[in-house]
Amino acid sequence: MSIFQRLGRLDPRVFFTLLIFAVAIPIISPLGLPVPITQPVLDAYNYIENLPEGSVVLYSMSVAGGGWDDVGGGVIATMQHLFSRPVKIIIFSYFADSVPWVEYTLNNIDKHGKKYGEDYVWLGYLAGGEAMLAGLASSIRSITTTDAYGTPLDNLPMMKDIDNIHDIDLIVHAEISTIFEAYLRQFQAPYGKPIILICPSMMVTMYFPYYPNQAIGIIGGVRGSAEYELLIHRPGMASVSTDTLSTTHILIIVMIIMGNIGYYFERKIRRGE
Amino acid sequence: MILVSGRISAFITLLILCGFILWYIMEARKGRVPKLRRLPALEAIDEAVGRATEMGRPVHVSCGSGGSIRDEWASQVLAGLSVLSYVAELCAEYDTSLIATTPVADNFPIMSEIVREAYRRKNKEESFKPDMVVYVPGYNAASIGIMVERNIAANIMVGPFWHESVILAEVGASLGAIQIGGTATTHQLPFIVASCDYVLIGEEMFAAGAYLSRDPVQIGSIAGMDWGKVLAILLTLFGLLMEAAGFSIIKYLNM
Amino acid sequence: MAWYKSREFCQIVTLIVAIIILITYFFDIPGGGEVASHLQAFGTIVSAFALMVGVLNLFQIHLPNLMRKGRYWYTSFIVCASIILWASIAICLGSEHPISRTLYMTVNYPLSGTAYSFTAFYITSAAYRAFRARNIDSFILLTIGTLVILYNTPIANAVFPTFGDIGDWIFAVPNKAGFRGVVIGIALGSVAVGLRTLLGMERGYLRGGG
Repeated sequence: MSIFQRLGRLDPRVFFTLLIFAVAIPIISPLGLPVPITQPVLDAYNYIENLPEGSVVLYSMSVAGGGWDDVGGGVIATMQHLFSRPVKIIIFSYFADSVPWVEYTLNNIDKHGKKYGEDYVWLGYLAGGEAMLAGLASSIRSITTTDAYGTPLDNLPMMKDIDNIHDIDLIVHAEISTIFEAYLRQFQAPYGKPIILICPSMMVTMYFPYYPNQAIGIIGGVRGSAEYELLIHRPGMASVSTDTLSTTHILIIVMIIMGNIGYYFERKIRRGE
Repeated sequence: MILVSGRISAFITLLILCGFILWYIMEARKGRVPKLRRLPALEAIDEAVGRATEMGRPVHVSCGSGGSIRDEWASQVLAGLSVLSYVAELCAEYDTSLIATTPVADNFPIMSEIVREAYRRKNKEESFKPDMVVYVPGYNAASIGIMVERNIAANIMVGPFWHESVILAEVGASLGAIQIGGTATTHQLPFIVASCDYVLIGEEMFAAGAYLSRDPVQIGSIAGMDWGKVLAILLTLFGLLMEAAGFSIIKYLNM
Repeated sequence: MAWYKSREFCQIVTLIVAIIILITYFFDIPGGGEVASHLQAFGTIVSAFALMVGVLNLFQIHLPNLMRKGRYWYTSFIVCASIILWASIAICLGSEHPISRTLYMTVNYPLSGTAYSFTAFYITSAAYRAFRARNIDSFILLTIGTLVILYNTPIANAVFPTFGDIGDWIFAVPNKAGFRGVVIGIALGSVAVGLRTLLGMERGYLRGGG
């Protein structure tokens, strides 16, 4: 078997080993490769940047477990951006698993002097799935009358004038599952509210048809998160991984080329026989 | 009773679709059964089980890792359960080992009962073993372990999947197993198409129950579904023409 | 067979619950929303019991293996001990307790992330195996796949911005069109499966069989 034929029959463990190096080397020794900003991320950034003072943002943090590494950078970056703007933020979780990550995020951002209860509120995990979203849209107090810490919403200065979707100016939704369409059905389609989506990179193709009309911006995976971090000038966990994106993708391209070379020579020899 | 605002057009559309489906079901009951095009993936199931029987290796079935029978993935799970029932009957008939895995607790008792009943229908109840259906919460790692340890010969995965689909398919491929995949989870479709030998894309999966059972009434429902697609195409063209003429029909669809 | 285990009873329950949910979804009936919420809550409770059945299955498989020191008995020990330890902590201390949270962040999160990262390796081998120009269809798959990979490679976009434009076009035109078609088909298929289930034709969830 010639070397070219072997290219088409390589043991997958060779790739796994090369992949480990392609991932590890840029993390240990960052290469500083450029990251162009894409339009969906820029649209998300510009929308938040241009929010009028006093706008109310509903932040749905529904990221948990292994997905945090993919979209966590985007969550922290958008949350940081919102906290730097003169807006009010209501945070809730669609999944119970997301609760620790909300607290992690709030503990790892600069709050720019924002006070709990006056500028931001954490409602905690709200059970009920899409029915909960429908309830939130009609009346937040029909779903929960207290925040995550048990404080009645009426005792929180910020929540005195906020009760339903009409009081919300923007929804930011971070997910690792496929619940975005529920948000479209309950918030966007009936009320026309703009939604910024933060999702894993594998779901960007699935949600792209909704951009830019229903989802005004999409921050997809590590790359989107890194772009957002660069836009707010706060490189974080996603920016660390962008070099890795470049090296691993180039490795995959090289492997595809090798595989096709091997296949071509194999077919040529078979035809010759 | 007043229709909820924002759901009126959805209700009308649902009524029309149900009308199509019921019409074709009635036609099928009268003997006018529509012809289905060949679905190679479903026809390959017999080949896959046969191959596993000859090789003396088990068949692995997964009804999805992404949802349970009580959430919005229920229709996909039902499709997967139909395939499981069919595969279990074949395995009972040919005395082929079967291993069905699921990371979703809701689906586990249903899958277990389906396999048991399949063996009972083939009068092979004594061959049924409870460990044929396994609940594996850590699906990624556990499914790799199970498939490699049992050295499966056929991997049939029909249902809602997350990122595990590519792992299941690649492990199956590394074992030389024949792979039949199907999902309507759009973000996993590319992985399943790339990794599996036979694929059910989107709505082909929902035809599985009808196709495998050859029940005329179920086949009639598929024809009704297809007429729904014709309606969607006509509505798209109509909307296109209206938009070009300067009239927007979107607000009527949002009623 | 007892009447409550019969297929007909299960189908009647399915039909009644589904009709209630559908009617309360489309029609504005006083109290209808509450009924639907209660039914969905019943589903959540049943699901919790199903989780118990799943856990019992795990013990059913791993305990005998552990007792007789079968193959990989130490992994069976880890499974059983982890379930008991974690359940005990969550039940006794609650899931909000710092110890539960610490366990979640230091054990569950890294393990979930590790399991999620397997995908990267298998996608790599899938790409190597699948992206071969065997015929015209696979050639198109290869070309489009390669262009999208290059679109997602930051360095490639920086050096050749054309990849960005091509990628944007692929996402905005063929991808959008294809996904919209697939999603419409899936939605219609779901309606068909739902209707078949309501009418009792789809019996896959009822022990299978035609």
